[in-house]
Amino acid sequence: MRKQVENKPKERQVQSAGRSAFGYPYVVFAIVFILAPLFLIVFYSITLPKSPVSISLGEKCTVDAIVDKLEFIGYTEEAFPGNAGTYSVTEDTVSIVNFRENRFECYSVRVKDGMVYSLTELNKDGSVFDDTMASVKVLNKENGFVFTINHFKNFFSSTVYIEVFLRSIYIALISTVVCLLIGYPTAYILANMQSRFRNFLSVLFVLPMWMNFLLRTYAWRNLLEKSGVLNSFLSFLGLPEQNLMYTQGAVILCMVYNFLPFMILPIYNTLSKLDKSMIEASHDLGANHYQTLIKVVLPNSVPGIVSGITMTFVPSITAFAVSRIMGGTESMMIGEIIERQFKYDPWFGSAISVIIMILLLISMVFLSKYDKEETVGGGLI
Amino acid sequence: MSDIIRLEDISVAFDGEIILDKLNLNIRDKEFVTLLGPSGCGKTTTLRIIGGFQRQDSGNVFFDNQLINDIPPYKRNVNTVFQKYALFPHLNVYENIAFGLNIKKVPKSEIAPLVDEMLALVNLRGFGNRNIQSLSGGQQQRVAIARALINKPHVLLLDEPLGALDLKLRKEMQIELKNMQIKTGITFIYVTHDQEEALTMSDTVVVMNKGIIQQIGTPQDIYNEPTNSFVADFIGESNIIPGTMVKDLVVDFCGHRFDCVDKGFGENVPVEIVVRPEDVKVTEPKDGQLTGKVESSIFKGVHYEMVVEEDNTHFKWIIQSTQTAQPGETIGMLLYPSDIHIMKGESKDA
Repeated sequence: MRKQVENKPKERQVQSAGRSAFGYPYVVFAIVFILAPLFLIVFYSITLPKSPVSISLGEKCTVDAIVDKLEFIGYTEEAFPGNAGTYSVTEDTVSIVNFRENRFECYSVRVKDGMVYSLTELNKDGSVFDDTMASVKVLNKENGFVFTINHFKNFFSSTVYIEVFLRSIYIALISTVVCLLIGYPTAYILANMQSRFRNFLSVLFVLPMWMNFLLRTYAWRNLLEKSGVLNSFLSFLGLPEQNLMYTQGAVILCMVYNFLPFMILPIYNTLSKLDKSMIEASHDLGANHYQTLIKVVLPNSVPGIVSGITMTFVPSITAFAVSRIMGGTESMMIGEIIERQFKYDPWFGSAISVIIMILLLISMVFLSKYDKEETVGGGLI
Repeated sequence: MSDIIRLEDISVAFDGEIILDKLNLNIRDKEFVTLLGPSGCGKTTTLRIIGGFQRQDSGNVFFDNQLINDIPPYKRNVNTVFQKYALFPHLNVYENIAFGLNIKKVPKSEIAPLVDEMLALVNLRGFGNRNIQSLSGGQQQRVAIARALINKPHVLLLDEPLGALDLKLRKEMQIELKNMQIKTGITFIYVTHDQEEALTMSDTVVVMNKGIIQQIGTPQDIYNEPTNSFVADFIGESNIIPGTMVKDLVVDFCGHRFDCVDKGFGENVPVEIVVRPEDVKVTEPKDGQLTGKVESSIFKGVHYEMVVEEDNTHFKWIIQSTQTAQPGETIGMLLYPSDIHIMKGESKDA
């Protein structure tokens, strides 16, 4: 007996040491998989790489712009270009000797009416080698990058991007508000139900989350399409067909559908943990059901509301699949732009994501402050 | 004094388990009434029925001779102090106390002096702006009492309000509560499982067990004349000895015939005798009516608590006395007639 008693504390020590050792892989994981991409994106957003310049026929451009681009990747001007990595300018033509090690490549680019009018490859003696080119790629003479805030400048000087950005905030806000308006009463009813129904219903609410996100969205498309389930039902009833797809409404509907569980669950959690005697105390002091809801239940469920808002607003502002599948041109969202930008200009794409990140950070700080004030100090009454 | 609350044939069952069984109880106005019993005896359920938080399966509740079965809690002129205080964490002390008046739309200028008055009554002057979380258990308790009392209820219900406090604080609060009750003239209905608390504060004690009222009476009645062995056992320690009522004023137990002050049980009827541990006088063996061998003796501060095996029937007595004897010694025990309490005989396990 005595031996066992002596052994116990030792065992416990070993266990706790083991337990904290399990934490280290997570710390490593956090650094590698969370901080590294974040750092990369922030880095991308404030740098411009020296990358090959491509010039294509018909592209909008000026002589000066081409010269700027060439100088950025290390090309120097010579009166008669002959060495790799040089260029010369006449009135409307830029001649470039590409920076290739074992081959001579000289292009002549002629600009007329603010666009690339002709692209010609020349021989060493200046005669035309090929005048049927559609595009050329001028290779780097210098490698590396420069720090710049041009990506942000470009973003904020473009009315198109600003418009899409504001629209994304608008759509995300509307979706969040609708989620809250539907989610809060649902969570309230759910939390006050008998446990048997409650478990069944909460599974029902979580069930769609087990299905693939894209699949769910495509299912809605099938429902709302011109020849979809809803319209066939309407025409079966002899009612006029509705054009619901490719509208902002469709995007918001699908967003609400996808993110509603994320609103319901945290609110349901706080509500079901609420001290029932607090509600009884409110009745006891003369407050009817409505007054109790407003003055006691609502202020005490603010933490749940805040995390519900966080969990719906953040994914809906950055979502791109929903707006792409359900929306038209007038409901394009910032997530789509980022996704497209990443294909050929990740630097600009990164800058947009950083802008969204800052926006979300500000709103989270604001929300968490509000949350604290509500639960500790109390201001609603 | 008239009855302020009348419970008629109240029955409640949860999942087939009977909590209250045809309970009848009248509570007089301006009284301090305590519902006393072990946990699960139905005392809290009785309180919740009066408060309106629990619906009885059958029976009627009258308040001031008005049937209030269907009146929701927020329309009853009754306020409750909850077991875990149930203060609103999102409001500060002032706002918690003012909650009831705010709901009644009392003008702000009238609320402020009333809240200050309440804070003074519960000795929390200057605590108005404090957060609930920053208060100690005793302070939270006082806020809960102030929050209920400010509504000037006809009846205040208190559900084991001192249960979470330490002993010293509890004793202080007992006296404060009693003083508040006298000062405000409000009827207090107090639920507790602590017999000492019940005896200290109450005008009337209602002892309950298994959903049935065992005895109603003043603290003195309950302590000195318990009607059955449950009450005797629950209200303080006692020696419950089987015996025979020979005739009026004479009782026979432990092989000795005692004079007593009870009558009306009949002749040669089996009865149970209750003797409080502190009522047994310890004497020299030759002077005692009974003799016994001391099994153990523990020092308890004011007195010693001894377990003594009586020689004739080997019944083990608990005796509290300022005199003591070493284990193994034989002592005499002397009982005065007024210290012998007779109850109707019951089956042993009741």
